[in-house]
Amino acid sequence: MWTYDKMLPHPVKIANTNPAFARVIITQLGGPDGELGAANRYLSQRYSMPYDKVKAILTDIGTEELGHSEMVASIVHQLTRDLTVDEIKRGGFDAYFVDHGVGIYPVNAAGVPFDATCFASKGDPITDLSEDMAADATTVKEQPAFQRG
Amino acid sequence: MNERNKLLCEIRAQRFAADDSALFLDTHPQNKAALRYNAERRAQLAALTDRYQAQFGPLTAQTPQVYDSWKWVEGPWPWEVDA
Repeated sequence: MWTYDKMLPHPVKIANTNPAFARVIITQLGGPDGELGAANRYLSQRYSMPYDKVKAILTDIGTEELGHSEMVASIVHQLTRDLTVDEIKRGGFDAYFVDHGVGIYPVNAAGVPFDATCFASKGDPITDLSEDMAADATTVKEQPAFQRG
Repeated sequence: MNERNKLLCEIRAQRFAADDSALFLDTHPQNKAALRYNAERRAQLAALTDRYQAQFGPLTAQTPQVYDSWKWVEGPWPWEVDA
């Protein structure tokens, strides 16, 4: 079971709002390679693992990813606070806004809602750990993309 | 940086090191150096957390509530810009 610690793993203090950026960042929350997918992947896979060490590490990493999703959601929340209608439209944020306001709803950068099909949990340790390595590798590719963008 | 943020910063540092060494220990449970390192981080974390909670309120809903009101509900909440 989980305890919630009332702090972020790393502070989030966004000085300036930027709805256009928020549209892109939100994929790190609700997209195929995002934190919700990561948390659900590891926390789902741990049940069928045959070794204690693997149950432990999947539980602990999955828990860590929940903390990450909180940070990403905080970033999106701060990027979109106090927006005017004009800022919303100019930022291309209107499609998200009409359905969710400035609430947090996990979607990818195209607005497709979070979907469990973004991860695999196959009940086989080799398959599941291979899935984990593939998932981790996607984040290696994502970092430079964020930096370029 | 005010007192609260300074304390939180130190808590985060100890917490990160504790969590990361815990991940290592998950797959290397007999490693003596890692066990020692993790124990030191958790001891520091406990002391810092006690100081923080005495001054600024609970960090978990399970923290013994020695305050005269349910301070858990009080802001700022972690995702707020003034947190």
